[in-house]
Amino acid sequence: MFKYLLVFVLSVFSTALSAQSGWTRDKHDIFLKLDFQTYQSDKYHNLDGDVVKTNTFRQQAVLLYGEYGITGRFAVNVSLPLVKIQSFNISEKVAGIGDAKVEFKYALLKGKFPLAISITPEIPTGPSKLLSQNLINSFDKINLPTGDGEFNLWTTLAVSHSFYPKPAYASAYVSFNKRTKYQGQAFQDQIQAGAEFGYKIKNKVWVNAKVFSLFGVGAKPGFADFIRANGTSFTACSLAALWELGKHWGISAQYFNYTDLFFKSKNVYTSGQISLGVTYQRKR
Amino acid sequence: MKKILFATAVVAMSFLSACSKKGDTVTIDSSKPDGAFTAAKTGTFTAQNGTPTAGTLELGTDSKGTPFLHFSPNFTTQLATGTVSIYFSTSMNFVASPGTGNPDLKLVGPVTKNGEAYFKLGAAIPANFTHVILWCGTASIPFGNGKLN
Repeated sequence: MFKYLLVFVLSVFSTALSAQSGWTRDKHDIFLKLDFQTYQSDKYHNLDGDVVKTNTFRQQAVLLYGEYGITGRFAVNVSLPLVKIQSFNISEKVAGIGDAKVEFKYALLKGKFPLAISITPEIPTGPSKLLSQNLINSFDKINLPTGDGEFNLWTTLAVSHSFYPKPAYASAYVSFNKRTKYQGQAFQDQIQAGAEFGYKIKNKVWVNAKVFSLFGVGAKPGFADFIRANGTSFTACSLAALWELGKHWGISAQYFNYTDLFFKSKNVYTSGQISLGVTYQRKR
Repeated sequence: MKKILFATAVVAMSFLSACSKKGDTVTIDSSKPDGAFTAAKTGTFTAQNGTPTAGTLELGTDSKGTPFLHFSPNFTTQLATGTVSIYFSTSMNFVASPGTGNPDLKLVGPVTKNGEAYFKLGAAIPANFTHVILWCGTASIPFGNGKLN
């Protein structure tokens, strides 16, 4: 039972931060989450890591995330930003669907230290060009696409541990993102690594703390494009909570922010981000 | 009848050909200098905020004395993210002051491509405008600047 709860909780916490665990969903089990995220920032870290105060960039997103257990060891997870709305404070809002991720996850080991490997194609389903009109200068536009226009492939290895009978768990993972090109411009590959710890308070509310880093590998990109995250690096931390509303439903809340703990933030807008979610799960 | 049609066709073609030579439309690109361009000041772009901005710039006049800003054939900046505007500035910093009419800035216009370009200026640029700034207006960050010497 505790394992089921862990899988549920890890799923809930996983979408916004691309977190990973060593558990996979059981055969024919389903998990769904609808998440709303919002943030805004005028603190841009350029490719050299210097902070530049800019006009305020704003983004809101609605994300759909789902997991389905095909066998006891093999699961498919899908993440799709249904809509992203983006603008600067002096430009019109533009909106579009995001890039879809389809994760094929296999449990290599079960038991005390479950270990899973996954391969996740990220498909460029979102528009790679969305021009936002400047509200002050009629000739001025900025490209705020909701997709990055390139196909890329994440490979992830994740391990977890349950501290049963204590209602707690821990996970760690490392991912490699093989990126390709957009309009002839090659992207840096990326490595992401993270860890998390979760605990259930008074048998009612799961809380979770998480830290992860993302950084690029290979030659420094020739241009900065924060929307496509080329040359981006940062470390992020989050705190999240989940309230289970009966057998199937739940609601979640999360706060996420950046830090220069392990890597200097580069080519990224940083600020606190809030997300709220509704979850549903069904077991066979 | 066939001879008449043939003769008519020959005459018509000759007439059209003559009209074409006489009436060739010559399109004058107003952004190009008339005659030789003579540079009075030159500079080199310095990239800012991780953009690939590079190249040289010149401020000068054409044979009729019309002022132009000239970017060299090796000019590059970051155009994929949106509009980049060209400003003359009294310093390397973009100091906007809309309430007082932006006395430290003069807008030239947007740059639409990398490579060589001429920008026709409405009037001579006062000497206190010592720099050219490439500016991403929506984000409000500089992509590069060049000092005119």
